[in-house]
Amino acid sequence: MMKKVEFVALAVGAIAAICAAIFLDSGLQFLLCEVLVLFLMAQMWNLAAGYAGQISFGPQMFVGLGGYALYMISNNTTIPVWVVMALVPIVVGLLAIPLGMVVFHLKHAYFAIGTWVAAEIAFQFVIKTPSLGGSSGLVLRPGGEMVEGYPEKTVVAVALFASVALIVALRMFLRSRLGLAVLAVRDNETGAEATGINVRRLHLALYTLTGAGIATAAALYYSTTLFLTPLDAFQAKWAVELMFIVVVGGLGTLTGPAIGVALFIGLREFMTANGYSGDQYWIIMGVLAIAVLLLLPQGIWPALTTFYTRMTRGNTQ
Amino acid sequence: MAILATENVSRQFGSVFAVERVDLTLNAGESVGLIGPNGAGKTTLLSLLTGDLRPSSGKILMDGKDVTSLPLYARVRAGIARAAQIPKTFSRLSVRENVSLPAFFGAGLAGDAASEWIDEVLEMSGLSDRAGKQAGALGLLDRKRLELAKAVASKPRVLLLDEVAAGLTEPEIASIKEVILRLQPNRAIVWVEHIPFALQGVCSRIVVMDKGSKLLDGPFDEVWASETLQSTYMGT
Amino acid sequence: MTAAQFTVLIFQGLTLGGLYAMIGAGLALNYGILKVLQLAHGEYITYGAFAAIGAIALFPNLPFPLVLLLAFLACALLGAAAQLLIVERAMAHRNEVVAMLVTFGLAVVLRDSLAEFAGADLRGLSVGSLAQANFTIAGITLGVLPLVSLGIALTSFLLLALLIFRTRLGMEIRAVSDMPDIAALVGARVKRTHIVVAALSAGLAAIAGVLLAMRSSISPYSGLDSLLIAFEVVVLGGLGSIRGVLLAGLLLGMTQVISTWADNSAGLFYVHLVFFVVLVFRAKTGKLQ
Ligand SMILES: Nc1ncnc2c1ncn2[C@@H]1O[C@H](COP(=O)(O)OP(=O)(O)OP(=O)(O)O)[C@@H](O)[C@H]1O
Ligand SMILES: [Mg+2]
Repeated sequence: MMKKVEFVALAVGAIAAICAAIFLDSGLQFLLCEVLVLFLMAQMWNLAAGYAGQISFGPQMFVGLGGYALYMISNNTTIPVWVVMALVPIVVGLLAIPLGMVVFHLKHAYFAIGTWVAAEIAFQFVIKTPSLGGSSGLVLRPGGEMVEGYPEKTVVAVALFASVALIVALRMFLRSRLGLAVLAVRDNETGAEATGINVRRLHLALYTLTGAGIATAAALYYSTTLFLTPLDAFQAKWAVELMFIVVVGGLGTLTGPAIGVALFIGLREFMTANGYSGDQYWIIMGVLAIAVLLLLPQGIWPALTTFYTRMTRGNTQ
Repeated sequence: MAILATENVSRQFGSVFAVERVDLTLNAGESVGLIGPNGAGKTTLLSLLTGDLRPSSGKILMDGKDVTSLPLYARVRAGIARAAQIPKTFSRLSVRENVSLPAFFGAGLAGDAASEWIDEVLEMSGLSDRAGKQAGALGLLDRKRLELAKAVASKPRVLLLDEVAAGLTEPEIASIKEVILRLQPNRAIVWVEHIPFALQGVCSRIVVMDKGSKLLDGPFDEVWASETLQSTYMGT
Repeated sequence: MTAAQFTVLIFQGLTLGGLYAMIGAGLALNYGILKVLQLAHGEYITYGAFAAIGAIALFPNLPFPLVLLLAFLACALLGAAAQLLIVERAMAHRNEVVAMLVTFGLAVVLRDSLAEFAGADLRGLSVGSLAQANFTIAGITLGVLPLVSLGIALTSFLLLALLIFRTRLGMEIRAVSDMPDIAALVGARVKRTHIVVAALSAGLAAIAGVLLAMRSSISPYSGLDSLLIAFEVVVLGGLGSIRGVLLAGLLLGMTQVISTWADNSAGLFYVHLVFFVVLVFRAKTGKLQ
């Protein structure tokens, strides 16, 4: 059931999306695209890691699959890019099912490392395969034609609405029976199975769903860059960024990734604007992550809510 | 036909037999007390029945069908549920959510039928007034009640109870027993307990285990009076 | 393939395998004892390489064993400090995910500090005339450098095994690893042991880094690649087993050499594939915990 606030949020999101497409200049639109794409991916990684306990070092597998699915289908068929975009989650989701069945033989640390290696295998495979563009990558040419105009105009609107819709959808999901099952599995896995939940199938469903989600976000992103290299798509940088965003913001909360993205990009823009180097920015991010984990191991958002409830309780007594 | 039966099941941990060549038959509507000293293999036997553990050898039959390799969740759906010795409640979920899970996924209920059944189980186990509370915040008696309620909520045909009365006072045991007596008419029960008072009046049949093997199996009074039982517990 | 080619291939596989095993050794020790996935391990390897490169740049005539020792000590110190100031505190939360993520922050800080300080260029470690030196047995010409490298790796493994299984310190380390709470009760100095282990594993990483830089070039951003190889070696070897690590390193090294021989553009494709298949197979047959 959708609640009133969620309905309002969706409406506001739709209006904001249209405004962003019309009124923002294209530099800002490009930045916003990046922010929103990272948010979408972080929320997906968070659903897998924070709710289902699937901490993976290999989300770049799905970034790559999403990007390559978009480019390969668009370039080699006459299907419009926007239709391909809608096909990406289906294609990648179908690939994720057998992949998930393999990697779910692995647990904990083995799973994290195994998913990373799987992504690395995909990367090396693309590099070795000339029909996929090899190591030099691909240029987006839908139906063989160059892209005209500024795709970020539409992408920013879609990504903004998708971000709001995703939060609403996740809230609804967590209230549903299946969402309850996810929370139960997070709390106690064998206990959950003993209530009749098919834990394996649930894990696989979440893996597929989050993989397809990351791939779709990646497809949105690479539709604005107009070219795609395997080194960029399959690099572990994606895992690093998503982990930062989610862990610092608050693993296993819906608001945490939003805070994480805001910090991550906000600090970067601030530091670049003031003449600091990329390395200096990452040093600060690293220190920030260490400090947050040592002082507030749950992340910023859970710490804030705990602080807030303590404050209000303190006032009423 | 027996609702649940084991054929020659064994389970080893390393070289130790926790359960050794046990044949057990459970008929519909029957309540069996399972007793034996610490480490006799009672919990392990129940785990074999629920599917938490796989037997090293032997078979488990439900309604005459081989369910030995059926996974845990599928056996819950088929109608076997256990209230575990160490409660497996979901501490970060509310009491009501704890009971909802087996009602949804074990019993396969949805909508109004589900919420009515959940209300009924909460009522029956005396947890109605604590339905919104976090399970992690419950005391021992309520945690035991919740563990029992979770097992009941999946509408099992076979209910396995592992020391649900242990650690409770006599009046508390009586209140748990009341719940079990209300459940009894429709389902088979296997109840593991060290306290004879608990089993009395519920279980008409008693099975005694020691060192993994089944020693005795018979009517309550007969087993209770037997010399083998005395020597098992007295160590003579 | 001739017998000579085959011998060369085996030799190359052995030496590369030795290097891979060395890359994993410190991580295996760290994970085996501290039970923390140390994501900064790759950076320790890079730091070891850069320590050696820096030492030779400053003192061109420094004998090689001293360079190696210097790199070892520098990284051991770094590893000990990181354990004392950061990782140990994270371990106090008793949540392995938190500890792992802290080392992840540490890795990023180390990587970008080095890039900021030394620049992002690729560098190699020049070892003078040794680089070209070779010898010929039975008509087969082999390089001296790979042999030295293999010798260093095997010696390090031997010393590590002796330390763990033959000394008092090793006994204490094993006790802390098996049952930390009980070891503490009987007077093992748990925290000190953790720091010693962290120092030792970072020091081993430094040696691996020096060997790596002698063989190919390395940049401040090479850490993740090293970490991945280290993970593969450690996981294949069975988390925390010294002998397993050596065998796993050899398997992966052989795989790479043979696959490159058979397919020019092999890269690390078959190495990762072999790792992945073996891992999943072992998990499927229940051989992982
Ligand atoms: N997971 C396990 N691994 C190794 N040994 C086990 C395991 N579970 C049980 N055992 C051993 O199997 C034997 C039977 O244990 P079990 O828990 O079934 O006994 P029990 O009859 O339920 O005892 P209690 O009355 O104390 O609950 C014991 O010797 C126990 O140590
Ligand atoms: Mg027991």
